[in-house]
Amino acid sequence: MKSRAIELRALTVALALCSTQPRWIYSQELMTSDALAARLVQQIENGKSTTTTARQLESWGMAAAAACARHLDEEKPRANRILFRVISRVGLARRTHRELLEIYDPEADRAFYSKSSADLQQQIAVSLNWKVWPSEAYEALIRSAPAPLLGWLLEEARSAKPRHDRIRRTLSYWGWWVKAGHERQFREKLHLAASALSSRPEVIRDPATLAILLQFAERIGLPDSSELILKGLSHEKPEVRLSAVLAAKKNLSPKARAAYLKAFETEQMPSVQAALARSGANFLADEEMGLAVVKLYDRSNDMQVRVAVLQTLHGVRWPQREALILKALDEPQHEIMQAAIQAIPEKPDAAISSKCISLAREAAHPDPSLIDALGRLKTGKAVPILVKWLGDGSVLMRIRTVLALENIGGAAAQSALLEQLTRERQEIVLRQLVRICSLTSIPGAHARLAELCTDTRQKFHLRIEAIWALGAYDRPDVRRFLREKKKALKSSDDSARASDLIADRSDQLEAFLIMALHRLKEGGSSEEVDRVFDASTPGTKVSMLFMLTELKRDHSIIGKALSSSDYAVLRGGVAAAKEAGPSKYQSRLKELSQNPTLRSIFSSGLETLRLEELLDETLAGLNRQQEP
Amino acid sequence: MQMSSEQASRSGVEVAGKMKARGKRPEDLIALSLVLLMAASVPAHEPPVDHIDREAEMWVEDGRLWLRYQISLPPRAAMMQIFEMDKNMNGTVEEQEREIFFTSFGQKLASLLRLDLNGKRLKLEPAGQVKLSPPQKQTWLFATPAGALKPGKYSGQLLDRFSLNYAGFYRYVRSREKAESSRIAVSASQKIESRFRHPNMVVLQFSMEVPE
Repeated sequence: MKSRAIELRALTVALALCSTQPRWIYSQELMTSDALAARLVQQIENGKSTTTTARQLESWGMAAAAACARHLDEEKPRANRILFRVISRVGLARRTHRELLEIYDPEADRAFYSKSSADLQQQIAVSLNWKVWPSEAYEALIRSAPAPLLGWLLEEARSAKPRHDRIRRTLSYWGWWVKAGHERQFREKLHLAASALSSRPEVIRDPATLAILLQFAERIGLPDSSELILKGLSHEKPEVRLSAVLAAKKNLSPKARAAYLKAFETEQMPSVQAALARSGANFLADEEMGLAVVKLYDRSNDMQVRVAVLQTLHGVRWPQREALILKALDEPQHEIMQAAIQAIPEKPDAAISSKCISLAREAAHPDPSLIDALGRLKTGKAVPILVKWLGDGSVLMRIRTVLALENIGGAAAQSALLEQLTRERQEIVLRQLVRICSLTSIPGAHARLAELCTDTRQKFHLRIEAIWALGAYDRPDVRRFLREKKKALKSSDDSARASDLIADRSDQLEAFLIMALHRLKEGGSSEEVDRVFDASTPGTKVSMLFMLTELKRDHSIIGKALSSSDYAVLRGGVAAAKEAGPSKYQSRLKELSQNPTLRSIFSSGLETLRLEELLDETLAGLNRQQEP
Repeated sequence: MQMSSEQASRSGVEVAGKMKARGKRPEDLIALSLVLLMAASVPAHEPPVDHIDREAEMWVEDGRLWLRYQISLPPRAAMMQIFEMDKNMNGTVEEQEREIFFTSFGQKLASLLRLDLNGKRLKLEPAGQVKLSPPQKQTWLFATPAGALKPGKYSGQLLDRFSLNYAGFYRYVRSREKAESSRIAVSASQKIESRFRHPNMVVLQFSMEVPE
């Protein structure tokens, strides 16, 4: 590593001397991170603003933390606070993937992953021996000096006089750090620390520390926290019982589970009861738990508890669910009735369906929860009410009503949607209607869609979505229309492309036209899809893959997307492959699923597009198909 | 091979910080003026596509137009570059893999940064190695070929087609130090039109003079 650093420096000097480089780059007055840290301290001592220096210092990455650590001094609390802030900010690098640190911040890589890491971390951790810890130190230590801080926690677990305040603040910050997916090195060791702290009477004797420890256990996903939860559930302080309820997950020991179920019958504090009700959502298919939650509704007169019980009913499969909803629909309290309406599932039993329709008929104005619930009934009886509300509602109400009608489906609902498509003027509602036309080919909507495509007063996105929706109508006039539009685009294209300034617009427009023609299986369109995909921006590629997913049709662009190094395009490719018939792509999908870099992304907060889940689902589906 | 973060910040972050702090128009040196315009029409990307912030700076020196182009990658986009580098998929990026990637990426960027001077397309070439600095910044240097510019006045446009692929926040940097050291003054103004609080495609329009 050292020789590489020397090599890098030599290269820099060589480049600096190279005649092709402009003078200014290398003739700057250089300020090292040490010099900047010294200047920062001087500015603090002179009472001057430190913002610019701190920002410059932070741009050095972890080298800045090392430079700041050298200036930490117990006797200088004002300077310490600012130094710790810098250390904390650059310490965010610890959440970064190691592969990136190696390339972009080698100092951070050394600080967290090399054998010499202890030195730098120990320098920062000098404050562990101070009488007073600055409040900024907690975050800074967790981010930049986790190893010594962990050692300190374990020492505290052994201590006869643990420092509760410091333990609580450390666990609180660290728990969030783990929960956010930032912890890359100490997950298992934190489990050990949590277990060590939990086993010490000196630690858990303090109710506030026990409550924080329970929250910490939940945030770090402590595998066996049953004993700790058991202690918390039987505690006299409601805040401890609340933390115990929040920490309770599926993997409770039989003893802890029994205590947890018992709490539904014995707990008196409404805030804890409400938490118990909400925690029922962790046990979707557990009938015993369902019964306990439903009984809690009957036992409690508190509105927040009853509302919490009803809110828990979304998605659960407890047999008692529908009877409770029906009962709650008759409650005089508005909040409870609203929660009951929101809890109505898809295609409920006849009694709920009929009650919901009668409530809607009685309603003086369109009600958002009722609109959604009517959609979930999936019955034609709800259509006349929704049609009436479509006429009176605000934009948001109209969107909800349109979605409810889509959910119901059938001729009456489609006829209402077609009428709305003709008279609607709001772009946001029109986009929903166009999307529904694309998905369900509402009969007779093609003429209005063609109007929207050519209406220059409409937003560009609405117009291109209308083009795609037209592809759902296999009619000679639609085919002709789309062909003409494509031809027109081509003729205007040369001047447009010459300036390059509308490249993005023509790129998207062309993509949507080609995809609509491909949807209609127009001759030659498949090759065009390839050509346009190759020339498109990642955003347009994602749109094209999304359209292909909707078609559930295979195409060579799927293979290209599966080789893309753009995360969104890659994800679009996997989604399209899943719908098109993934067996053809099985080996590539497996490769992606096992790729170390992607796995590294999956295990962090960077996975926001559910690519891992999609890959797993697709591969599991393939495995099921291939089972004998 | 890339430079370390320390070296990178010499020309990158630190310099930019100083420039921003001091950057006022030097009254005595007017040779190059820039008018920065945004050409924004429709969203250049869909929401799931990663954003990349960028910073640009142009100047004339030794008869060449130079462009410092810095991009700040979000962690996922930077990881996906690693994904692309790691051809043998062993989870580690070897020196050679890294070098191949950055050479190719530099060429790609150069091809996406389209420079027109007095209505003629002029090629920008990568000049030197990319400088990498924390958290995930890449500082690139591009220049027109030596001898391609004759002394005189020019009006030009730089079209950043990379920003079309990956939109993000954009900043033009003016450097007093650079202006002084190269005897070139920069006058810049910028107009940003954006529907999503960041430009869709960066287009710099400018006029400049190459001294004798």
